[in-house]
Amino acid sequence: MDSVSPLDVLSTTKVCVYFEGVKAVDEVDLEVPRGRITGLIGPNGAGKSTLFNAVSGFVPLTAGTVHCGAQDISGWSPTRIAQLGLVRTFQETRIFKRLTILENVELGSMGSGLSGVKARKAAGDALELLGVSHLSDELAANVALGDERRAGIARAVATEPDFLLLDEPAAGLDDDETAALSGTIVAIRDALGCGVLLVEHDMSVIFAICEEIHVMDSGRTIAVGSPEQIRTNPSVIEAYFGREHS
Amino acid sequence: MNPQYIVDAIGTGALYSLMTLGLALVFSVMGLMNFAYGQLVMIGGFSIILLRSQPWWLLILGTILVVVFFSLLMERLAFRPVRNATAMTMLVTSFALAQFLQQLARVAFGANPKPLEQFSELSVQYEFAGLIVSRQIILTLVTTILVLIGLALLLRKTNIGIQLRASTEDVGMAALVGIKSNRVIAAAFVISGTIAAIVAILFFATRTNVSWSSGDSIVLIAFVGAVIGGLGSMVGAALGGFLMGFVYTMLNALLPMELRVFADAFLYTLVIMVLLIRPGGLIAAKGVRV
Repeated sequence: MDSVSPLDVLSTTKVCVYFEGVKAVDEVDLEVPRGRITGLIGPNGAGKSTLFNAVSGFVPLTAGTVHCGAQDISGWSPTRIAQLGLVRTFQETRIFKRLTILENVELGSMGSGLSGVKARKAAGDALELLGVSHLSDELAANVALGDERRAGIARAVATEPDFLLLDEPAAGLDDDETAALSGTIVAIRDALGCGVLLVEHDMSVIFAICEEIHVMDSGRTIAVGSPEQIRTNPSVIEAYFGREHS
Repeated sequence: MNPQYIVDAIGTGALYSLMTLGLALVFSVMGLMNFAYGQLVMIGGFSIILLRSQPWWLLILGTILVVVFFSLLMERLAFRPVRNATAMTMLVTSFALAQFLQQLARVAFGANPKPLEQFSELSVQYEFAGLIVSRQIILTLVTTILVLIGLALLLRKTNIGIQLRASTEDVGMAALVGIKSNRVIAAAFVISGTIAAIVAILFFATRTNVSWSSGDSIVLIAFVGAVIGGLGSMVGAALGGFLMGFVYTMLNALLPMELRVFADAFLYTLVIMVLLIRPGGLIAAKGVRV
């Protein structure tokens, strides 16, 4: 972390999100440096999805700020945030079913300002990186869930983001697909040099590839540290398994 | 049955299919049923009157430019401010705009229809295997086929086409991957305006006058064609519009003379029956779109 300039960090400062008095997120500070993979975990209802949505502009902040580098993006629309280079994926992928896989990913490269042959090449590269280039001409409605999820990530990758926010990318995948996806996320980070914020229930993915893990419970941060530190942290164990196990 | 009726019905069907496409495209992209679309065709009609003495290529180009200009103006001044409002607000806006443009035309060109000098070169007729086919029908068919091919190529092969297709499916997600909604919607209005201008040229080629109310029947045909074809589907729109024109002409030809005055009533009864059986329209019900 010491070698990372503040300009290369996606950060939240004392972010609060309240829904009708319920504190879904309560004064959370989070840092996602470029070039690193940061995990965001917590039991169900911990507030991680709300924080994820708040950072990407889908949920308004009650208090606090979100910075992308030096830019304060608090209150920005999701589209404006995406155009700045902070791109997210969705659990349900939201892929365009009536377009081919290549066209879907091309949209990402067009969104980053490329057009024509250059957009198609960037899309092809992203599909290659995600290992689904053989499905380029398939209609998105016809591909399996795992491939659809990879195409959704490829579309985000094709925008060449500075920060990539992945929302449960392994949901619904089998063990082999999950293992392959973990390697792919590392490859994306290496290829783009972007910061990755990963929300994931599958702890095998989190502990395999994250350099730092941020743990939430009941809307608050309960631990931040390396996978080794988090694995043995009593607060984390208590949050997941109850007090009797800690 | 006289096969000549089929030739005439195909000609009308082709024209109606174009009318429907222009309306359906904008609906697909932004969920707006633009009831001022007929007034774009009406504006095209008055452009033809103003440019009637010019060479044919200048008449066509000038009409397209004028209608596209008004189409873009419509989007920028009337529809963009209410883009995020409810569908009902957009619908009422389009009715208000239609009224405004009608009254504007009435003030500018008078309440009485303006005579339009006939395009005598289009009434030339050819005989194929005992069937009489006019130049106007051939021109309508060829133009419709070219527009359909052009539109298909544009939607499949160009960047803006892919963006348009994505926006018709999920405009919010398209914006999230960086697609500029303003640009895509403006493109839809340019294409819609171009089609409206082509419809105006083909439609008024066989008419003797243009009036401020000329667009009314056109927008009704286009709307009903889009609904029975399947809202949101380009292929459905083309098919729905074609069937409207085809069936209407056949009814006028085949109904006993004393019942022909009720041709509209028979047509819309058929429309209701189609919608009772397939409420989502002919194509959209199968889930096949653009």
